[in-house]
Amino acid sequence: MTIFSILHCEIRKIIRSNVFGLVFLVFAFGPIMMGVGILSGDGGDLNWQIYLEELVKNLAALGLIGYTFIAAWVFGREFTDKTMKDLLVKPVSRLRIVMSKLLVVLAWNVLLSVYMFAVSLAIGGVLGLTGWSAILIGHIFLRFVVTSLLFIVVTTPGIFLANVSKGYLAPLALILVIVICSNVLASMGFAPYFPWTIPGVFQSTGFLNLSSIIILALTGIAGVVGTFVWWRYAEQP
Amino acid sequence: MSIFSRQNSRGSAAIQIQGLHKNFGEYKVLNNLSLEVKRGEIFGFLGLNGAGKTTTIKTLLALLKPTSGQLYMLGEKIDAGNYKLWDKVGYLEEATFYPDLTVSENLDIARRMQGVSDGESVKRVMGKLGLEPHKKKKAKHLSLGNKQRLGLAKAMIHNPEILILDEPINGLDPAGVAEIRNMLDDLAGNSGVTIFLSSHLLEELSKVATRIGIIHKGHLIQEMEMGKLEQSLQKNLVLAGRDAKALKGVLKEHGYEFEETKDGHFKLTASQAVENPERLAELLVKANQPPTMLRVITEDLEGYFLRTIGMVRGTN
Repeated sequence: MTIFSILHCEIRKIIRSNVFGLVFLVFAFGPIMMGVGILSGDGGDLNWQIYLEELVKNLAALGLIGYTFIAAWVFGREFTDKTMKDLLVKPVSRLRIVMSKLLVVLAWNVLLSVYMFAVSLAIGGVLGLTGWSAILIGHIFLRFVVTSLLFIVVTTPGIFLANVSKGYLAPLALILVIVICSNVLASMGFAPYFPWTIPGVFQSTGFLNLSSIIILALTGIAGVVGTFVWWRYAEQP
Repeated sequence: MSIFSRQNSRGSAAIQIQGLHKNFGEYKVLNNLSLEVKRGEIFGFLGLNGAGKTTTIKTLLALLKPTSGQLYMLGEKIDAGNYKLWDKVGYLEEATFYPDLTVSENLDIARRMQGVSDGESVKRVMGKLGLEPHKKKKAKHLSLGNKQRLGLAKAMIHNPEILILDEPINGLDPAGVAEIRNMLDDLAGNSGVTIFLSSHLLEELSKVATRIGIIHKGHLIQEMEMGKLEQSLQKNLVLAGRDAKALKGVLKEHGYEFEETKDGHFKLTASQAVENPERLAELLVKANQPPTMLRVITEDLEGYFLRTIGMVRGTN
């Protein structure tokens, strides 16, 4: 069976679930609330640049939690729906199934990041902000998407945990702890060395040093490899 | 090729388990379990809760790794990496589905994941299991019986050579039970599908299985063709009379061994009584103690199963 056929099944399972619509609602709610918050704190000189830079910075934490939830849910739901065994007793390589799920997680999260940015633009439009520049918007958008991709890389340990804990609640708990740790570590100057704060460093500076890239890559790879190994060798009592 | 139309290829083993041990830490769940299921037969797998039935099934499905021992299906070694084997195997351990998807969507996903290119197979299996009227219903809104049918439909959508079913008639009404029984009969008899069936509904199992195996404490303690079971079932003669004391005296006088039941009846197990009830009746009439009730009762499968387990318990 081709990976496209498995992908088709995965996409269909997601699109027809209640979570799919709910996630889009939540991801719209974040920018709306943050946009209102920025507006209410406005001293009168708010324009597109200030608004978007402030907004995407605040969206980072929401993105980290949201992307991790989605990644954990795509895998963890197979346990909560008790369909995991159905996937394992199929004439399909388990590695292909994991690969398909990872691709779906990537696609869904990238789609959501673009969606969040689009909602942010729509709110800015409603507020009638000044200083619109396609180049400026394009630049902020690009950095936001790359930051989102970096956040998506560090969701893989959450995926591994979703499999080991057989559900998506443990990864959610983990990511809440990580968000707290991230704030503490960032304030101590360790942001370039903690996997979950590194995307935020890129968001602020537009640059990452080699050690940050290595830490980020190793974290992402560890999650993916752990997930592959778990699917191949773990027992399903 | 239409669904359920594989060639019947009886004779060789469909499932082979050799010296299977499975431990969970210190706890031994399966203890040197060996069994063989021939192609085209319906093998009934009986055991008390915790006897090791589900662990055996999960090991067969490569969901658990054996501590030691070998498992084969259709001559191929069972291993998580040998995933192509699942093309020939269907299973129902617990009726599972994606709750927000409709019946036909769930089946379409099962079809694709099994690599069945023929989209019509969804329609056919729905028709076969009576799911057609519910095809647009979300799976989570199905009744328990229809959820079970959906589970069976998923197990059979790819026209497997082996069906492994754990409690397949759970939640079905009597008509549904009969329907599934006939279907399994048809699959094994006409299409040569091998069925490994675990159930606690022993009477139902006795109606459909061609052979049974009894597992106790992780070990197969009994294997028997259903045709031979009749000879192994214990028969008792139960009788009652107006004057229990006098009746007891007559039985003792003529050397009949008996035991008194709680409801004041007499139970005789000796073959001289069970095989010649008319002789005993005549004797009682002559002794002026005509029986008010005299019946030869054949043990049912449940009784046989409990007696077999009891015998093993007794020897432990």
